[in-house]
Amino acid sequence: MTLPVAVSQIVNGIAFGMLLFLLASGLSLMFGLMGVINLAHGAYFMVGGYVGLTVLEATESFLLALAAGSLAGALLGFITERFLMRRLYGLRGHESILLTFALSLVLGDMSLFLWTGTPRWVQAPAFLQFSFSLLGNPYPAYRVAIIAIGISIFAGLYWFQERTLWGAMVRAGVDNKEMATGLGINVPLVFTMVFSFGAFLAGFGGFVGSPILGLHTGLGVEIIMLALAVVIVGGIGSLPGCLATCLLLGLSDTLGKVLWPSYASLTIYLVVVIVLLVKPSGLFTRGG
Amino acid sequence: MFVLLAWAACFFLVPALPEYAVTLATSILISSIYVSSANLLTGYAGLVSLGQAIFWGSAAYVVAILTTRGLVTNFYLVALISMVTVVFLSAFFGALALRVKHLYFMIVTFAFGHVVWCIAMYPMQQVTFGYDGIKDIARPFLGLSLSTVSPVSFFRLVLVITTLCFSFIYLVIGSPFGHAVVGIRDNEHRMTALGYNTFLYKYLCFILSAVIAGTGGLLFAYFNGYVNPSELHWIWSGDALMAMFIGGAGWFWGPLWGALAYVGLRYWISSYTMYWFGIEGMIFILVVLFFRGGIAGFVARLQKGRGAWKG
Amino acid sequence: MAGRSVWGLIVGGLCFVLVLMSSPGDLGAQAPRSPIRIGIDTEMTGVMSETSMNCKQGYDLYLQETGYRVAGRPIKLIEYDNKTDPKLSVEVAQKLVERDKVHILGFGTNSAGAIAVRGYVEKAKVPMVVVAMAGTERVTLPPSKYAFRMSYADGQMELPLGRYAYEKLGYRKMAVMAPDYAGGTGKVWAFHQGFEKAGGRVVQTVLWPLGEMDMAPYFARLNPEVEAIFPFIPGDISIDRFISQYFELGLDKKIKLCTHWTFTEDYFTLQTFKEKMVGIISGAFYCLDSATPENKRLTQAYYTKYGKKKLMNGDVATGYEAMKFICTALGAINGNIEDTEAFLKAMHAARIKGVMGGPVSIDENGNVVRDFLIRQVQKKDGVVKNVVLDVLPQMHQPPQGYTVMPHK
Repeated sequence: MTLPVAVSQIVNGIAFGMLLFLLASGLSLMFGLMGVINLAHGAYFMVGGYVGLTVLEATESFLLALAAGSLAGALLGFITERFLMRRLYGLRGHESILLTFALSLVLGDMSLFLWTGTPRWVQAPAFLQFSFSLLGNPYPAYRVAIIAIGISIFAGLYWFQERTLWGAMVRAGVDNKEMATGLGINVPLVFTMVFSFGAFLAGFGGFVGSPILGLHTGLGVEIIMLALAVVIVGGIGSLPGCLATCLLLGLSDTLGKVLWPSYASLTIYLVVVIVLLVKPSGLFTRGG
Repeated sequence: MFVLLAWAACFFLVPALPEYAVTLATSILISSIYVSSANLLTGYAGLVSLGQAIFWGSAAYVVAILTTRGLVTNFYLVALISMVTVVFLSAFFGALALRVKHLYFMIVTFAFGHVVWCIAMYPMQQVTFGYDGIKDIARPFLGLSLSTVSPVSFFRLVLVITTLCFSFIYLVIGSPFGHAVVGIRDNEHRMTALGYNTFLYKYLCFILSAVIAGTGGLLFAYFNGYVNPSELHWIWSGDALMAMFIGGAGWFWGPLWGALAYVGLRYWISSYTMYWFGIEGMIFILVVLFFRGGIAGFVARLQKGRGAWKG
Repeated sequence: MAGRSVWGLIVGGLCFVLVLMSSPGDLGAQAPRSPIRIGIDTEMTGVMSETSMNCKQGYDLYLQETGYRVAGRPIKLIEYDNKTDPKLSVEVAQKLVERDKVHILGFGTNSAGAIAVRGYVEKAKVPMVVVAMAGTERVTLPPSKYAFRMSYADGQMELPLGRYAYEKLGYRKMAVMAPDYAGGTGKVWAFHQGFEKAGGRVVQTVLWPLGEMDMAPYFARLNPEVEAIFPFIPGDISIDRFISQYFELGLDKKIKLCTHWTFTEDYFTLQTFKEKMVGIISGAFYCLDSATPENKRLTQAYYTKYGKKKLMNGDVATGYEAMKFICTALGAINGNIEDTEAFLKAMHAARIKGVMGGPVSIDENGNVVRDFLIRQVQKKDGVVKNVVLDVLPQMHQPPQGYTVMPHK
């Protein structure tokens, strides 16, 4: 593998890591705040992509489609939290996981029904459909755009979390729920908003990523596993940690495919197992 | 006494049904073994594992590889090798996985399952034929001129083995070991304080449940005549858990109900629509939200006072 | 033991029996002119669904032409979705044979499913005919009395195409690319052998896990000395990705493509990529441009029934020919499908004229014998389309083993 090719692949890995970040950040926050792993999160990603596709076909506007996909995700998240998850807080954690797993199956079949089983693919918006030269090789501009988007969203989330009142409330909720309630913070409201916002990001990610990942009805299930790996390996409570892990896993996934194609997914899960056994709380977990 | 009558009815009357019904019944029984293994580990011991497919699938592959390549043809020997394989695998994975708890345990078992699936799909392709799978697995010959080629004879074999599995689980649950395991599920700290080596109990339970899952996988390989990596996939592990919950986690007859619902409903629904994954998911959601205790729990509530037995 | 949901067990038993009884109705003894039931176990959803559904359009078209009758008996088609899943393919086959009691089992595209179902039909003693594209050699080799395939076998086109790439296209060093499963590796391995036996060298074999959408890492592995690639990918969307990234990464300036027909279909990639595709060679057994009277007639019939949303394509022709062949065999035995032996013999003896004009028949293993074509994408009459360069007449399935790639 020559240097220009290696650089291309590294950039690919970073772009993929950014997409993972859009998904994993919401998942991580939900887990940290509510102790719930929402396996349907991947389905929000997928449905957001599909809804965006439909809007794109109707309006030819990528941005409008992006907005639609993100809102679809948020809506799904809201409905899930409000009507399903509420009933389960306090019950055994594993039941909520299985419940969200079942939900992802339902959403998967719903997507199958609405958009058929043929995999679909979205074209990047026209103004980003060019390639520029990266060390002599053509490199698609859209992937670079994804990296830029990912960084901006990370920056936005970080600023929100560290510097705003809302962010402080969320952090308080993650650190100590009872205290936060005692301080007068409307914890259920915060939960719903976080859940919906996380799902918003997922839907956003699903559509923004569709020119790279494509859309098929198994996507939700496939991508959630990677996001789960990120949450487990990276730990919860640290946004930069989440980003770092996403980049790490995104890079190992992409480079793994280049170097050992058949074993690529194997290595990711071996990493997950090793981390879980050595440092179960995750590499970057904040607090105790 | 009644159970004995029901069993006799199955043994003698089911074969009178049309052939596809016998086949379906066999499928339900084999699945119930699988679900009961999940029930033992998750329902009774409280360990939520997404790795049951590892043992079901490995046992199935051992059968497939040994019989289709003519390496071992004696049914009892194949079964023995298959079970030994499962014991080794579960001893290995269990020792690692049980170092973490709850959610992390579930994710470790999921990761193990995925790794095993990957191995069967790609690096071991020469042996397992990867995605294509292994076909032409012949029915076992039981000796004493008892062949199991016909659906009816195989059904009877499966019925006998299912009965043995369920009886075994019954004995385990009723024993001091079983009570300890349930105690660990309900409050591990207290059990440790009482001096129990909780790790050992959980470990043994893990291995036992794996062996039962393996028994199901073994029968499945013979039943289906075809094995492919989806038998090792984590989604199949997830199916075991869903079927278990629908049937009633921690209830003795739960797995039978669960298998009935899962296999039977799927067979029936898929004739009318291809969206049964989603329907299955919806049923599961309804059960978790409104029918805690699954079908077995529901039935027990209907016969309040008769003393239905839950672990 | 008493008192443990015994009552529950009774209810359970009743439900049990109810489920078992939910058959579509007791079929009883067959009246002589009752319908011939043809079951179709095919991919209506999943990665290979597009191909299978195209083929379906073909066989539906044929059945419609004949009024769903042959030799005076009506034909009943019963179709279920196997979701491109080999395990489900077996379940579907079981349901079709045991519950719906089909006389003939048609199968779709997924090779892994075809293998599994073949194992089943041999036990069930029901003839199985691949009516779509399941190409793996293991469907008909080693030969089975009950398995037939009307489309093509892996290697049947690839082996001569490899030779053609060396002799006529002048390539000396090539790479092959495919997902790492028997359906993919089998095809590229056959090409590999054809190419090397003629004198060329396959310097690289790039494989990846089945289902991968992003081809960039795999293109990244290609050596600079590679002149051309022979790729294979199941599923139109993945092919779209492959070609799209091929152009996106500027590879069209450095490496040529010599492909399987699925990469250059008129209705698909030629519509998306248009002029960029000019010059690409593909091996096929159908060409839309071909002016045979049968092709013109069928194309017209296709547009009449299905509209012009999608151009006529080889899958449709395959499905059409498959059903026509089955019905020809049925006609030869006067519709008496209950005599399975006679039907099997009739399948081996039948011969029809294919859509491309050449004869279509069955070899001793149950696989089709037909003409193959070398096509090239050209701009003709202002339209970018495939044009026939050469005909490879009456190709047979390669002998056993030609599509089994030795693994590291």
